[in-house]
Amino acid sequence: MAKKTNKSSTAGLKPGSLKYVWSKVSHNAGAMGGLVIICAIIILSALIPFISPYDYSAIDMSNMYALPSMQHLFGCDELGRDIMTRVLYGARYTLSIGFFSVLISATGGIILGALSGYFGGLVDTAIMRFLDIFQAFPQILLAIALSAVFGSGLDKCILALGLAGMPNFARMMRANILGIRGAEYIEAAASINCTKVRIILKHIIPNAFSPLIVQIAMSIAAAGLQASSLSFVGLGIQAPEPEWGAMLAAGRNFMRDYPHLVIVPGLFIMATVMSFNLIGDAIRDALDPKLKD
Amino acid sequence: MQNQTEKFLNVNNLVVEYHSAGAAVHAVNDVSFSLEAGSSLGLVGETGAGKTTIAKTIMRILPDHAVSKVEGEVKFAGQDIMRLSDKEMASIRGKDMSMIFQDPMTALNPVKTVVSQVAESIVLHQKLSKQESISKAIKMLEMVGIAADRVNEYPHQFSGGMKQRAVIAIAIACSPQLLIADEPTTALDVTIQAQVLELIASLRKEIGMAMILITHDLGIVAEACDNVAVVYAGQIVEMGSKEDIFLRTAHPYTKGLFAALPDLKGKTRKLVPIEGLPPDPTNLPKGCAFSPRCPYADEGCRERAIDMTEIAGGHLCRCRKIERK
Amino acid sequence: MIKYILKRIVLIIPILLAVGIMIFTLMYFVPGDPVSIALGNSATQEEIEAIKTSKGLNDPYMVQLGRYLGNLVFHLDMGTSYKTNMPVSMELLSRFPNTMKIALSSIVLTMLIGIPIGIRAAIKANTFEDRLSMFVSLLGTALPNFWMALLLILLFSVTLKWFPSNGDKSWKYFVLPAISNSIGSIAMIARQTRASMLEVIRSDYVVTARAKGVPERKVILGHALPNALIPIITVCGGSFGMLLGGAIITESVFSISGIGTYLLTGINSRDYNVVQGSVLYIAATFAVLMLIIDVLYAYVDPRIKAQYVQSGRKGKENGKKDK
Repeated sequence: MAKKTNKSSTAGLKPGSLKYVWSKVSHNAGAMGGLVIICAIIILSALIPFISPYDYSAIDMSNMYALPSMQHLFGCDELGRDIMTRVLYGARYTLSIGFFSVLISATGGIILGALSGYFGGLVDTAIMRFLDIFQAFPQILLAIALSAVFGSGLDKCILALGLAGMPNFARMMRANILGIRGAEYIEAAASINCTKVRIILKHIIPNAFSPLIVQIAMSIAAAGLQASSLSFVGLGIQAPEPEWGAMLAAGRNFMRDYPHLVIVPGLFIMATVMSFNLIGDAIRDALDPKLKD
Repeated sequence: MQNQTEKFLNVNNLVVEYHSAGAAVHAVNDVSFSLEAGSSLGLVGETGAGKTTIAKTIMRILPDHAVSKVEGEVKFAGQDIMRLSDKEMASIRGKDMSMIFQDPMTALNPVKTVVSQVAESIVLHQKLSKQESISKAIKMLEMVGIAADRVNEYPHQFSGGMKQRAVIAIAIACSPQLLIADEPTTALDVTIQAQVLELIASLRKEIGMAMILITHDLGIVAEACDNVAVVYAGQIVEMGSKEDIFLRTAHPYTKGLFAALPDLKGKTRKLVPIEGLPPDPTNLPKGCAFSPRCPYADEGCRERAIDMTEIAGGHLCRCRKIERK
Repeated sequence: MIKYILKRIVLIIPILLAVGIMIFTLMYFVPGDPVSIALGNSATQEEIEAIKTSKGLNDPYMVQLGRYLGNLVFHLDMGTSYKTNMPVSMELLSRFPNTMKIALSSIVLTMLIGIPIGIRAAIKANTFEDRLSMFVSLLGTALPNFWMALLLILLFSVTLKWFPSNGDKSWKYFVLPAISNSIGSIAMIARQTRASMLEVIRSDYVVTARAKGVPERKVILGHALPNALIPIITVCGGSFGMLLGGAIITESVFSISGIGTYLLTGINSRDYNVVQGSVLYIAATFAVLMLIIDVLYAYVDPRIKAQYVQSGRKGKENGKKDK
């Protein structure tokens, strides 16, 4: 939680500008730790076929339930598969589900929210009432229902989580646009004869997008968490694929005797989710001048 | 300062520092003044000169998280304020000394009714039942001009002037001996300003309380205060009776303040602003704090700090160039 | 105020109807059909088709939808399970208490633990105690609840044998589910409480309270907290959803027969009526929880209450709309 701000580093930068935010975030130990963890997971999961001597699906009965050792850093699972290899392959699922589902949520949500906020009136009412239906149940339930419809698999899981997350983005974008449209600096810009296009490009978009970055970081974390929940209850990504939630579901039957089967994937979920949250927190703090010291 | 007998309020060598973004902010630097019971003192100065900090130090309501150093002595009615326990201090605040805040819009708790906020301080300090405190609170509110049928409303239903009246009612609810009014009219419309000042004046007369009035408006000081202290960069640069300050102005900064005022009675003239800006409180000049902007300053002024000197009975000034002008 | 609440309750009905239509439509397009799954591999195609026709599964979409909604609205009938032939509404009614035990005890735990931790952290801001509790909260927000459940089972059922790991026979069976389900929310509420307390503690009216001579404890609990509660309640709304949704997952870890396990078995056997009924039940519960949240707003903030009373409509949105 170290929130040391170095005064000189942000001097002369406009608050809210990307450079300013970056210079604040880069001085936030937690966020940098998170960034390092995420980068490490991305790089390792990309390089795992070259690093690991094992195949993630290679069954090795002589190593069933092997405890962590030099040969198998995190041990082996119930079929003797190397857990480290599987966990790092699993990162590909979690991260790609996180990124791509949020890409869907954000794109769809921004468009819906912007239309709603910009046009107002009937369009607004129609979109908002439609979203009310989606928000009539907890997000995870929506994700479960959509997964049930689409079936399991990476692309379907991304689609289900992407759609389930869309209403949040739409509402937030709409509230942003309404808030900004009424702000005095927009009136000020209009009063000095700023063109509409300039107001939208120079004032509305930058101000609406900065909170969006926070929402994106937090949503990636949430989507990763939900993906593993879905897989855990038998939706989402299914065994034998090494998705973290699916690994936990498979491992729980043997955890009484071999707890490492459930500890390792859980730790990876937690580290990933926490890293994205830390980054999101840091960006939000950097954007919010009220939360200083 | 040394030979002052026990006055009603004595502030001696007060120093307050904040920390902000790693730097020390020298908000109040060696401030001393005193106040007799029932009299009034105006603290005049620019925004950021440290006036509010002086007031909050006397009340002991400085924000803990920001303050790094408080030194000096505050004696109030024979008690050493700085040495009191939190509990003892809480029993003085609101009862013997109270404060009116600058911004009435944010000074009232938005989720409590106005009357309950006034009654709260009565319950705390006077041994009255809840019912009695409420009826007394209603009386106080009527005294400041708020009709009884509106006392059960919430602050958001009040106008700015009404909120400030409510804040005043809270402050005077227990008839304190000392009232600190921190820019009580700055946030109000000009027409309301006069009403509020009049209200404070008549209440003072009624209760007989002393007042420290913080303002940047010399006109208000002329109207409401017996004595005046001019504050610049956390220091008192000139102090004396109202007449001393207005008629026998000594310090170059005070002169500058008057030169920047429009004169309604005399001939029209061009206003003379004080050149430059107040010094950065994290990085005060070594010598006289006003020297960078002072037309009379020389090397001697810039080299070392200047002491307060008495130039006439009760009229003090922090300038080494007074005689020569 | 009562008028406002009644209006809100009436407004829940069309939302639930819309949810019913949506979930019915979604289920209609799910591949696979319940009858062939229920009958297994031994059934012939003719048998399957015969049963499907008798259950109306071969009727056009609009007819099926109309029938479902008609039964739902006029008879509160959610149909029967294709797998067990039991009426869905009866099954849901018997399972509902278990789900609510998990959800409500999680909500209570969240508020009773999360808010005090946050207040204490804010008062002790930037001390070791604050940093420690906020670091633990940070971990808590990232903990998947089902993983937490597994770890709790490992520690408290397998190793210490204090609590059972599955079933729903007595209160003991609900201790671990409630804890594992609420950890994330407790952490979230603690963080939000700290943030909003910190903001409120520095506001002018808190200084006014101190200047009145109000003792510090009362300043915090009587003046600062009621104001800080407004953003905290907003987060509570989100966390109620999380806890209700989390209950579905938690039930499946602890094999508790609640609506969540019913829903998941329904999904696996394409038992449309079971899925639709479960989703509707949770949506209705969620709507009631959200209504409670909105009423809580009015309770702590007279400005919001004034809006409710004035407009009788959903107060929170009015401010935004007239801009």
